[in-house]
Amino acid sequence: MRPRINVRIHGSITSIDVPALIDSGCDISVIPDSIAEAIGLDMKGEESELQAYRETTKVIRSKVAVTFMSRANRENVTLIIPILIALSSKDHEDEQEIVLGIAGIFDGFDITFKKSQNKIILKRVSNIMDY
Amino acid sequence: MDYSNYDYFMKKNFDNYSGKWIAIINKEVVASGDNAGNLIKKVKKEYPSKVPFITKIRNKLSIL
Repeated sequence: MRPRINVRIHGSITSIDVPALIDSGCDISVIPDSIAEAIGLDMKGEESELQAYRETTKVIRSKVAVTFMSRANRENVTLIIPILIALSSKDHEDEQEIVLGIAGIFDGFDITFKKSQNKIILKRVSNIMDY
Repeated sequence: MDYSNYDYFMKKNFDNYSGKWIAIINKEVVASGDNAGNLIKKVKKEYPSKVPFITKIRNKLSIL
């Protein structure tokens, strides 16, 4: 099973809870454009390209507020992180899930994966970078 | 914000929604569809005060 955590993604229109994939192989977090548009993220940012395994996806640079919730002490932590909005195309109609990459996430938490216990531990670090 | 919908998703079998996006509110699938954005808009219209749990039910192996 992939390492996912339950997070709340906040937009100007609405918020949603999602099982986001934590991916240390991804430089920055990524969200499909259909979700970004539906919840009301700013899509007027700089256009760029995201290089994946064998393909390139057009993206828009943006930011999003993400709330992380601890099971242990019910502490909510909300970070504003940089994000790439992946633009859909005829070649990439299959919408991917939301991926939490290094920028903003791995700067804000020390992350431990405990596969045998089916746990992911996020320990907040003091010098969180606010993007 | 709590884990009730997430835990419901993790424990239940959703193979009958294979390949679809689903929206869960109060541990119940309230909507499904092929497009996540349209699903979110539909749920927002029908349940304006709720925060839905949105996910895709994968039907194949993938690499990012």
